[in-house]
Amino acid sequence: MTVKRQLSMVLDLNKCIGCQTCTTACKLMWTNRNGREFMYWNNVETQPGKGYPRDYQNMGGGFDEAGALRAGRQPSQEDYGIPWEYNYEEALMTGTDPWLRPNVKPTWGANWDEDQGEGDYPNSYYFYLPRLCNHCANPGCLAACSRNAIYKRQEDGIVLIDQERCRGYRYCVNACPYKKVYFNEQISKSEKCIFCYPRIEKGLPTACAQQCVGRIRWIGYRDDTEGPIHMLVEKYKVALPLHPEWGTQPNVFYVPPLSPPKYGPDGEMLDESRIPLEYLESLFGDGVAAALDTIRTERQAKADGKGSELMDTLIGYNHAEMFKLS
Amino acid sequence: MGSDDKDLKLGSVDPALEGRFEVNGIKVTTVFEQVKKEAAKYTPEKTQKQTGLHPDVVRQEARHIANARKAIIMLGYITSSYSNCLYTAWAYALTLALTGHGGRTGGLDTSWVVWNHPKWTELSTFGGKKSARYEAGGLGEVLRGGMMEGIRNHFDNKKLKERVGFDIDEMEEMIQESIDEGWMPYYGEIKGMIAVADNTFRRNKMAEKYREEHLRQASELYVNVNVRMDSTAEWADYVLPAASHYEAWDLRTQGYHRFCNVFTESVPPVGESKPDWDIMALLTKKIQERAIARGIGPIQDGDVTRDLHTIHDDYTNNGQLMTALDATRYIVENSPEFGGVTLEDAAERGFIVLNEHAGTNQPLQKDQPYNPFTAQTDGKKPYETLTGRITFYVDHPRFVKLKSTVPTARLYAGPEASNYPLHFYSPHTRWGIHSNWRSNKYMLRLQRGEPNIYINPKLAEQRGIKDGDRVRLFNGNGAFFAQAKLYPSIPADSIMMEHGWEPHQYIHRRPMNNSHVTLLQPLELVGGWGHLKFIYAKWNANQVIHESSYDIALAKPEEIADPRTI
Ligand code: SF4
Ligand code: SF4
Repeated sequence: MTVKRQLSMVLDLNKCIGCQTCTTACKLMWTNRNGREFMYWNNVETQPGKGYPRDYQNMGGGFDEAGALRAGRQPSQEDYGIPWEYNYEEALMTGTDPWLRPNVKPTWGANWDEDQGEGDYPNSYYFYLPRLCNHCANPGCLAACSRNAIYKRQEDGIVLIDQERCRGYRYCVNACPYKKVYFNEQISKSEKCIFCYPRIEKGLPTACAQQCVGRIRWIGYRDDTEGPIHMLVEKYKVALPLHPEWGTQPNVFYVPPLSPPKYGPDGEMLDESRIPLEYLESLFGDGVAAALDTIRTERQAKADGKGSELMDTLIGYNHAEMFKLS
Repeated sequence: MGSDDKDLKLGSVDPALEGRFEVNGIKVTTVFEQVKKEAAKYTPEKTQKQTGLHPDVVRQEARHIANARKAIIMLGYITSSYSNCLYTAWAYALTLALTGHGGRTGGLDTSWVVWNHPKWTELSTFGGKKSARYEAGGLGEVLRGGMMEGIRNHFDNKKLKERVGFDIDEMEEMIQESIDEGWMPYYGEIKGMIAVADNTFRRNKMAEKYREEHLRQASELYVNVNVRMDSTAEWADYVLPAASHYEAWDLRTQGYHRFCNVFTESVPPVGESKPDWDIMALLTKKIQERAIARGIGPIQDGDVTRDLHTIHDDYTNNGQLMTALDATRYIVENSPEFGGVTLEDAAERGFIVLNEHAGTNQPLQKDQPYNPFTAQTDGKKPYETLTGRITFYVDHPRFVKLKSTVPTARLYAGPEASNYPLHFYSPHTRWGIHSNWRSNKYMLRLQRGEPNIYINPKLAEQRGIKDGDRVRLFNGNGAFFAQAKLYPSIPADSIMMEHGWEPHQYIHRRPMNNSHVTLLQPLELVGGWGHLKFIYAKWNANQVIHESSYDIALAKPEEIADPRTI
């Protein structure tokens, strides 16, 4: 799907601290009301893990090698996690409930397996994967919509659902392999991340990027050869799409995480990284090894005082250089 | 040898680091000899069994520090974690000294370093004219909160002595000695409380006992100023609603960076809530009015008087500082470290960059890191210590008694000093600050919705516990319940739980802190020895927070049932 320009985001997983500030910024701006309570247009999940919604990586969707839509399924409410409520009034004011607690016994939530990961102490490993709609170049959601309600904006490639046209058929929910379209039962329409377009139109970054405590997010246009996206994705090739094999051609890219060495049985350090390369490749494709090598080399150059254009960008000294919105 | 100049220049003196000498017929040796001898007891090979760290890892880390162009060890809140952390901190200092890291090449740093804010201090201490009573926090909390009882319930006296070098009786004696000798101030029981910005009934160990003691002592009046109904506000006679972040003018700064953030009143305070400053202005107004009406004059308190009949005039600088905005403007526009910026300009920018006057030990230079102690390493100004130098030898009688005259190592108490096998860590809230917003539903929905513990899957399997099960954690002081969450990144002999949950979020409102014990490190209670004396935020005793241990079992349904259903 060709557009005039394409906005894009890069996230450096080496810097994400899993603080959920982005999630909360997005939630309070867009999804804390009107049937959207269970939605996290931006979520941060621990990987390896089941993610949000639960097990989305095995729900199908996207395209097969021949370019045809693959069958996908819709997550259940439990997969998203029930947004439980609290008895603040009864527990803290009237004293009619014995203690403060959720109205249902929590059994799953959007961040239920936080920090679990894989492996055994001291060789356990995990990292945080913040996710939003990828505003794909070949959106599965768009291809699946029989109402032509989903479109990509020409000026910036943001993928939107026309709320007037949407009839709530949910083909898009099934077709997005990232499960970044949600069905709002209250209004019987599908809804998704809008890349904060009202902010973008004012020259401001998305709320998740603006608020990011770890300064892990860069925003810019793909065609801006002077911008951060071009440097990270094209020039140094350290930023990679999540699950490129799903065929939607994401415009959100991730710098994969380095990890400390493993320990041997006597506590000695081994020459083997904690997070297995194959695992990272299963998420971000073939480019991982080269990307990690580049980051290692450039980090060392910076540490040795030799300077590194790449590291200066990844450090993210100031927002003006991290967000290139024109 | 010897000089009257108060500086650290050695001049032509080449001090002996090693050797044995006779001075006036007395056999002496150097501190360095003593330090070396003590350190030799703890080779990486010998400590491996205790620490689980391979000698190669220790050596690699030591070389890493030694080779670094600059190395800073951030102490943070370390001395409050385990009873042996004072030793750890001293060893850090030694590591840095031995590897030549001081001043521009690094050194010790701490999160407690604050900048020089004379106007701030002027307002908070009434110009130092009628200084408040300060106490060593941990000491007051342990004694006033009746925590000794919990310490006795939990630890095995003999095992404790073997682990940390003192038992509970000796600890109590040493506490008493510190009070009797005037090394650490302690003012005894309280009569009333006006509490601001401290969720004290959540935070303290032996929580229920602590709360009961405080409420008994403050039975006449307990006022809590708060932005929400937290576990401390719940017990107050009166809760005065405070304006929250963004509802009041405020300034925030701290030692990690050189900025002061300026908070404006972006939205008016909700309902009747008011900024803390305004609340105090109104409270003092009434107190002054009543004191005058009742003819209450100056009350002598040590060297100073407590003047309830002028308290409002004193607090507001004779009516000039009535609101948070007045106080903020006064500080911003009169503080040398803010360089004469106007409040309007500071608010517009959102922050103020501190200038050279902010440095406490030496000027804070523009475009240069604030390296620890360059005034000493470059300027040869003496350290604020007994000898004027970094001190690796302390012959205070208690340091002698506990065989700690030079940096050495001790074990922490841990499960080995009790009858409960599991270490228990209670680190900061996953993504929050202590109990702030801990009960906020948006935050809770991103965790498990209720207090949870982290447990290694192997330990869980041994005890028949599955992810999501409710478990009972217990020790000599009682039990609490929480949801089990599998977490392979913790050793199988340990449990972890975030510290900030509100007591009212626990099943039966029975918090972790009810059964959590503490200890005091007697070395931190010494005084009367040069720089080792009570100095607020520099030398005082802390409660140690990670010395509790527990055992774990699956909770029985009847134990966790809502009392109304039984
Ligand atoms: S991530 Fe999913 S919802 Fe977003 S554009 Fe791609 S296919 Fe559509
Ligand atoms: S705000 Fe930034 S650092 Fe925090 S979880 Fe989100 S992406 Fe990660």
